Amino acid sequence: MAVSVQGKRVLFNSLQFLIFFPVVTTLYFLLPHRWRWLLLLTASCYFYMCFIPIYLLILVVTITVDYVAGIYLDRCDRIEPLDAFHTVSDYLGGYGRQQQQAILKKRILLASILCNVGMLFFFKYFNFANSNLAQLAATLDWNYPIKHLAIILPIGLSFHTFQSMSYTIEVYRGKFNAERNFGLFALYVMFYPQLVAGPIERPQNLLPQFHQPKQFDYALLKSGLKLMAWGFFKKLVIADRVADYVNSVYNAPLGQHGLTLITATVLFAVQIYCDFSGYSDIAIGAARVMGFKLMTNFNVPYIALSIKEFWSRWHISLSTWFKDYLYFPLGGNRVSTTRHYLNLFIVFLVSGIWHGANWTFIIWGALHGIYQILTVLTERAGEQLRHLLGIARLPVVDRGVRMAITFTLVCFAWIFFRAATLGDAWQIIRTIVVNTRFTRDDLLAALLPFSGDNTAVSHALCTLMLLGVFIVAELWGRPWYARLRLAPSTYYVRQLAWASFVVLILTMGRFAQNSFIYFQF
Amino acid sequence: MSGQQLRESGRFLLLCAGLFSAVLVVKFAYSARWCPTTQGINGLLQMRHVDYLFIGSSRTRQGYDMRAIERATGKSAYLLAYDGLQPHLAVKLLEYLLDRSQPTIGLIILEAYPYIAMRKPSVEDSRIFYNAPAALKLELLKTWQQTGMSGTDMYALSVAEGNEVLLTAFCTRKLIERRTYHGGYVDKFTPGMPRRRFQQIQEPEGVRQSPGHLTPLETQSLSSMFTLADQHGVPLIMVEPPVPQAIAQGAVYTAGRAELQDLAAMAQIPYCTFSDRLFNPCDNSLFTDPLHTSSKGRSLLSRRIIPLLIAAEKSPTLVKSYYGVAAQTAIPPTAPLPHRHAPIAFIRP
Repeated sequence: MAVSVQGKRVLFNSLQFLIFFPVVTTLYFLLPHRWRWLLLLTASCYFYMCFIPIYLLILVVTITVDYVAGIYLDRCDRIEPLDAFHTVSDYLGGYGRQQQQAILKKRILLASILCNVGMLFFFKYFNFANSNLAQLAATLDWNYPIKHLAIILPIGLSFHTFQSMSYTIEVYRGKFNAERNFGLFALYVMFYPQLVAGPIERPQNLLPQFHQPKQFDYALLKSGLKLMAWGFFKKLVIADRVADYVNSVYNAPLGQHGLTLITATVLFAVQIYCDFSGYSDIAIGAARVMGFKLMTNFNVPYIALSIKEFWSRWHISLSTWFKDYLYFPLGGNRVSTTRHYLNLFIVFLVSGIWHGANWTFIIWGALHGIYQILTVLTERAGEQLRHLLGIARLPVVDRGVRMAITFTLVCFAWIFFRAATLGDAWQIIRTIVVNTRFTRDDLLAALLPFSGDNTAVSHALCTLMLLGVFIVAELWGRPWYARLRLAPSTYYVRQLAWASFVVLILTMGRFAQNSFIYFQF
Repeated sequence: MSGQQLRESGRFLLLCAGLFSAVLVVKFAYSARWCPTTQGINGLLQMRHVDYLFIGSSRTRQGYDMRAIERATGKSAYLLAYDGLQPHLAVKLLEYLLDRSQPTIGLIILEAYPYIAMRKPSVEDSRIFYNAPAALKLELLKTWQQTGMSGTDMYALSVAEGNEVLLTAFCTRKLIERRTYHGGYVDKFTPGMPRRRFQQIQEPEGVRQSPGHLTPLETQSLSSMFTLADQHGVPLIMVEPPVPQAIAQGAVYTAGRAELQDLAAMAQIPYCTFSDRLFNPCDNSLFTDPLHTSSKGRSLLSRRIIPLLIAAEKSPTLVKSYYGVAAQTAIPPTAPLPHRHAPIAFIRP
């Protein structure tokens, strides 16, 4: 355990949040409905400013641009274009009225998207693009004068940008009327539970909820707190525990045994799921306590039987975002076969780029694109093979095999996602292929990173036990705690079970305030 | 919220608090009982007498083979080592040990590690807490409070750390005990460094940016340890486990070492280093990383220290006077590896 200097960030897994959340929630229910949005907005601003205060300006720009764009898009549908946009309409003279409106709306949407994507590009991708161009120039022996910018990536930039963009697109499509209250729109983009790592909400779901007066509901409080507890368990007890192993192996992959690298990769699959879905659970739970319903973000993704199914269970708010706003506009599957494959590939490539400015993420996205295409291509052949081998007649074996294949493919892609560089990723894959043995030394080497000393065996066993609890709970009905609803006579048993669960989190959690992985995106 | 709902919430919170307190009290009072008995302070307290007690960090643990030393000397040896053990914590351990009648100690071999005495107070190895008996735990908590440890870290150390070992003790304790002996490793293989990586070694960035002086807290703690040993009549020597030449010649390391030598000289404590002839700091196969020895290095170092142990035990004053004089002059920061220290094998009673 390395003791470190504590930051002042209001992370969900921080002591500050334990004060922040009850205070904001209590004040929320004490205030009359008309002031609640102001409280939530102030709390959200404070939450965001705890990271880098000045970066609030980025949000202000995004919110202002999209708010104005929304208003104008809405007006285009309601008001005669020649009256409302006299000058612009003159400029567009020669087109019919509807065409003029359509062109104008497109231009407003385009301007809003350009502003959002421009901001995203500047803060997230500029240095990546610049360094690649500099390398290219150096290879060609050209003089390249643009310097690397010392920018810190704003936390959760991709999340709130995409959420804001979804609003403009929905208003453009006429599926949602523009929000007139600037404060409520700002709250839609900045609502603190899901501000920095989603779920990426749609205006139809979240904005109307801010208008509805909420009453305190004890059942919602209990259910929200239970969901938060489950999220804390996933983050503090599972994700941060296996993170120690993963980090020690992936930060120095050279010289590791193949078995150690396989273990680290599988544990990374566990880590990223528990980390991100843990965050989502805390966010959804925190919002539920106040009476808000956020969309589900994960649905036990590792039990997926195909890559396609995996993406319908993993980071659902982002997958559906890409489906609605990129895949369908590209034509989806209602185009030629080749174009369909290309659409699939583009969507996953963009998803990879969304995750980070590094070639490792791009390859990760491209790999998933290829997986999707291969899934479509081999669907019929796979079916025939399963019948030929007789697996199709054994549903349990069939599901098991398909689940294992999907999980292996996902894990293979995770190697690129987690590796620091492409070189590291290739080295890891090479070692796994060439140097995986199951000798005593290899097994001992695979155990060691659990703690780095001779207590590694205890840590490994404990991790296994906790993973067992986690897997059983995850698979045991959804929401998982439904199965804990024992008969009414066992009220005290239920209370004791929940109290033990809380104590388990308090004693087995890692409280070093490790940031959530998806904050960096 | 209705009265009934308030009562239900209150009951639940009380139940959580009760359970949590129970777990905490049991852990505080009894954690040492479930810890392996072959390592740490818990293991040491099981012994009646220790001829050679090594106190230090992971460098000491990885540096010496207790079985080899015991076999060669016919005496008992114990390695009280925790990762990154700083003098201000080591003094608490020593205080606790010397105040007790058991185990009796023949000679203390205290690790001299400049970097660790230059750092701000920190805890790298939580075993120091959950391995310890309740009385020592209280002392450690007081020390951490005095050194300004944050509440979160204090919580992690006293509540969250070590639970894996305690929870799985029923089946892993024997396994751990089989892999450790008197605080040291048994059959642990640590490979030598690849030559290329060895050649790239330099002082860590964080160290290079440090002020390059021993902190007052650690200086004071070292002096306290010297005094404590003297008061209890237990001879103490400082031994510096070897590091790769690139580290040994680093400006910060040499400055820190000079300060440690001055401190030892003032207290008339022998400060021993290993000469190049005895342990070649340019041989990559002897090191597994920039600070720790490999299996080959451990085996060699365990052989090389034996003459010093015998000499120090038979005539500590001779060793004391020799090294006391040798350490009088501080080494300039840029000086090469000091050859002016005689190799320890030369010390004969």
